[in-house]
Amino acid sequence: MSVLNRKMIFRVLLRVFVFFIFVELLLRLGGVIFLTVQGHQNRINLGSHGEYRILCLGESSTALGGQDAYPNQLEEFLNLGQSRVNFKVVNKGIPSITTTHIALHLEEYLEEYKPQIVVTMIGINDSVTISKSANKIITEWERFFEYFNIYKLVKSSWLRFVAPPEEIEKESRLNSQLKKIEDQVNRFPTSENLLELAGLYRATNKFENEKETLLKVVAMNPQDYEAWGYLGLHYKRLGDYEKAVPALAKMVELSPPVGDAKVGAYAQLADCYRLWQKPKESERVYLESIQYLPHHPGAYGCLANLYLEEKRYEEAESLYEKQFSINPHAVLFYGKLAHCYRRNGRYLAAERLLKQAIQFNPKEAVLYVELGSCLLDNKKYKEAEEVLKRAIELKPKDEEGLQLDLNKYLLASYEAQGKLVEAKKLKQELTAQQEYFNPQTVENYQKIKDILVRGKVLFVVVQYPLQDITPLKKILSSSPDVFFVDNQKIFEEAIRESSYDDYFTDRFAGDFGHCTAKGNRLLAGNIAKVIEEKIFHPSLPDKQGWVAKKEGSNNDR
Amino acid sequence: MLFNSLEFFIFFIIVYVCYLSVNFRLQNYLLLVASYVFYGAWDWRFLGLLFVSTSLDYFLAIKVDEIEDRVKRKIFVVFSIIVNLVILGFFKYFNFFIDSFHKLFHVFGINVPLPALNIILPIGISFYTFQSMSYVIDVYRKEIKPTRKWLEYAVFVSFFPHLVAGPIMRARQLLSQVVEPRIVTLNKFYEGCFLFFWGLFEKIFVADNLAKIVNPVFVGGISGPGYNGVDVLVALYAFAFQIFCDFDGYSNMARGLGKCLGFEIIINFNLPYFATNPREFWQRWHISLSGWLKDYLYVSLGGNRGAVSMTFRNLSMTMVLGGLWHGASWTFVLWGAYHGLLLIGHRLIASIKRQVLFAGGSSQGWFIVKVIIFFHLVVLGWLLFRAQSLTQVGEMLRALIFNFHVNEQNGFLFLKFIAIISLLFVIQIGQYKTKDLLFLYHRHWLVKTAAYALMTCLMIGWGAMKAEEFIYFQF
Repeated sequence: MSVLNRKMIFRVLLRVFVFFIFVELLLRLGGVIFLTVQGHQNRINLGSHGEYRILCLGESSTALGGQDAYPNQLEEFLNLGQSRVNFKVVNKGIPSITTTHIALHLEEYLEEYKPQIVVTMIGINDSVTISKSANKIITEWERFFEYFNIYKLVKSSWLRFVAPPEEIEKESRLNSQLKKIEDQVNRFPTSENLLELAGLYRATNKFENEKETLLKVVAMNPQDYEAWGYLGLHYKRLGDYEKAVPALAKMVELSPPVGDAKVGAYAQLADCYRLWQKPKESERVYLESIQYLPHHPGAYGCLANLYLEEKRYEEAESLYEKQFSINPHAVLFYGKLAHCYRRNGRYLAAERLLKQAIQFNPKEAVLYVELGSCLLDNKKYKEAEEVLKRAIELKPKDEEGLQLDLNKYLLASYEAQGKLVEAKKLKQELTAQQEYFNPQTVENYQKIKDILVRGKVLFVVVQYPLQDITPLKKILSSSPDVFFVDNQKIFEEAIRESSYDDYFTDRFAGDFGHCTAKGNRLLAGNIAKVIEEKIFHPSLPDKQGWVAKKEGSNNDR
Repeated sequence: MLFNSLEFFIFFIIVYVCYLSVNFRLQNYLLLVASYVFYGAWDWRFLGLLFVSTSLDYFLAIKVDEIEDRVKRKIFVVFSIIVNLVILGFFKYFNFFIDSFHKLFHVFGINVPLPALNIILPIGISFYTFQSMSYVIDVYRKEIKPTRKWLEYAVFVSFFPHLVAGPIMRARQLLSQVVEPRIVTLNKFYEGCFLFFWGLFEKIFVADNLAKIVNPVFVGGISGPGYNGVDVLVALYAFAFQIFCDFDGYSNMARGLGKCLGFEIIINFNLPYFATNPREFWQRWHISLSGWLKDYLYVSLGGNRGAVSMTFRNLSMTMVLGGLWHGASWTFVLWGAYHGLLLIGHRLIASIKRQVLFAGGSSQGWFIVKVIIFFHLVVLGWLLFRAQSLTQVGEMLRALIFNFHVNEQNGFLFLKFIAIISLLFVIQIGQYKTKDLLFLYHRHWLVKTAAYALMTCLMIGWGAMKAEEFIYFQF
């Protein structure tokens, strides 16, 4: 092996650099070619007057797909089965652009195509990725790199190879497991297999199937307490307490006297009563459980919670204390007991309790947050700040608004100590994090809306597949000419029916990606539905219903 | 593991780093383990078969060499051949024969209930069985001495770059390298990387995109008015390049990997479509297979040492069996027979040419005409090769002759085909003119870098993400 020397390294680096330059140039050349071809195709597409024109703006998820891209399919859907209105849909999607680009060129497009409706599905390429699984703010460096096509190319290629987000992978794994177990059950319908099948149905949200399977098990084997338990949980989950209670009661009755099953059964039954708004029954069951297993801590805490809800503070207190004497690691109950103490004005006792709790459970962020809140009440602001910071270090998951509380208390501690600079910084971070969109995107959307309203063009705002429509509705406050297309549920259901890969070709946006032909068809169909129902009323005298809501088609402007 | 996959990339990096850090003896152990892991990743159930087949031939070869008695030696080598062929035959052709028997008896109205087993084809079996057979036969012919180290023989058979789709190498080509230490230089590493990259480009960009033109025409069939001749023709052109790029791509990737490890793997394709006659074609196409067929089948049958009719018989038998090697279907047999006919025809014409002293001209124009004519003869052969059934062959031929209509759609299809192969085509011309398969590699660094950039963009933009398996994997 020959020796590496400086000259060789320089040569290699030079070639690599030139390589990237070439790739960048080629990508830009490719972009120019793409736009020329698209413009040409669009010019062919639009011909005579008497058309109702719809302009689709977006990026690669709009532009790509050839014949199967959603604007083409949208045109097919709209023209299907009626001949009164001649719909022409123009695909002005351009890969890798941002909302800024669109807002900037919108008036140009309106001039060129004179559409009656503009449909947008935009935003994914803006600095903050709009996705459930990725909410971070991009650094200055990334903003610089985004300028280069090659960076975007590498990033999107990487996302094609990288492992999919856990949820999606888990779901596809579950679906294949499900098929296997279904086969097994067909061959060997034992209660074990059926229970396993029911479990998988539960995991894949097929609740009806779960119920049927469980009913089969209890019919086959009425002594199977596990099956009764799952059945009870099924009903409880659906809120059908009337059916849940007897099933869970059966589990209590049939479960073996040794082991956790009975205690669990009691707990579920009591909880069921509680949700059913029958606290007396709930209390009875808990007490029975305590009588049956006095050394098992679980029931004490739960019953104490019940008493707390009924404002029976003293009884709650003594039960909590009993709970902790048996098991000091039941983290969730500390907060409640502290709450009891504080109600009685025993602030120091609360503080002491939480500090003790932290000694036993030093990694539980929720305890620190509770202590922080307590210290704030006791006006020990500096200590509160320290404690809350330690909570942040523990990187807690955001369960039940823990993050929110943490930040709220920390902010309060800063303000109380007069640390206004830190307070301001924290506030900025929080508002930025809470925002779904980055301010530039919001501004661009509003600019687009203003231009369209001024030009008397209807605005159809499409949200990406699987994404929540509410943030969009928030930033584009209602206006008679703005229509929203919600693609969250429809895609969720579709994926559950078959698979992610049926509808998407990659995961470039985290939990969704570019659509397959089938995905685009679903998308186009959904948009067509909104256009048909909201813009073109079927309720007017013409049976076909194709009379525009607005006056005719404004071809000459 | 497909070569164009993330798992293989990681696998090779790990193996390569270890390979460069250990001494020669350990390297062979490493290669054996890596090759078995590689093969196991395809289907661990057939590792046993590979092991048994390897060990059997290893011992048989030693036996053949030790024994003096001619008859006994022959028995052992025949035994080895039979075992290899039985294994190959069972896994590959059992269902085919059962099916064909069925159909044959059906013609006579007899319904024979024969078992049809659900046999899975072990990957690479056609390649490694042939390679093993060549080894034992070479020992029998006293052309080489068998190795007394099982490890070396096993590495020779299962060497992972060429295990699943060739080239089929002889002992004197590969085993000789296994027993000696290999030197990996920086130059070899660069060349290896280049070959791998080029093979990847051929496979991911050219072959897989051509497949999108070919498959819709051949798969699924046409109802109603039938095929359009132009569609069929464009699909055939596309297939000609698809199968070439698929296989040449894989061979280049294998060569590249081998080079990185210090091995010289033989060239398997040498610009075959520049051939002007069948004999030249088979010296340029799937060189390792045609060489094998020539040395072990054709020559054993008698070659061209007997009468002309004998030669023709040997040629046709060899080509028919060569066709059958490709797969268990009558279309492959027909394809082999067709090429046999071409070879026979060429011999006849060549002898007539000699008698008539027909100059034929050696100008470049005439050369191009000959290339085009012969290319179309090969393309016709590909129709037989690719078709799903004999009926489809008939329908397509009919379409080519009677239903040849150019329209906007197939015009566009043809342009797409041209676009996909254009870069490859240019480079191949360069390769032919300079008689250097590393033509691109030997150009000025700016030119090379621009080409690499273009190929990278094409691969990322249009490279198939769901890898279509190499066509030759099913062999």
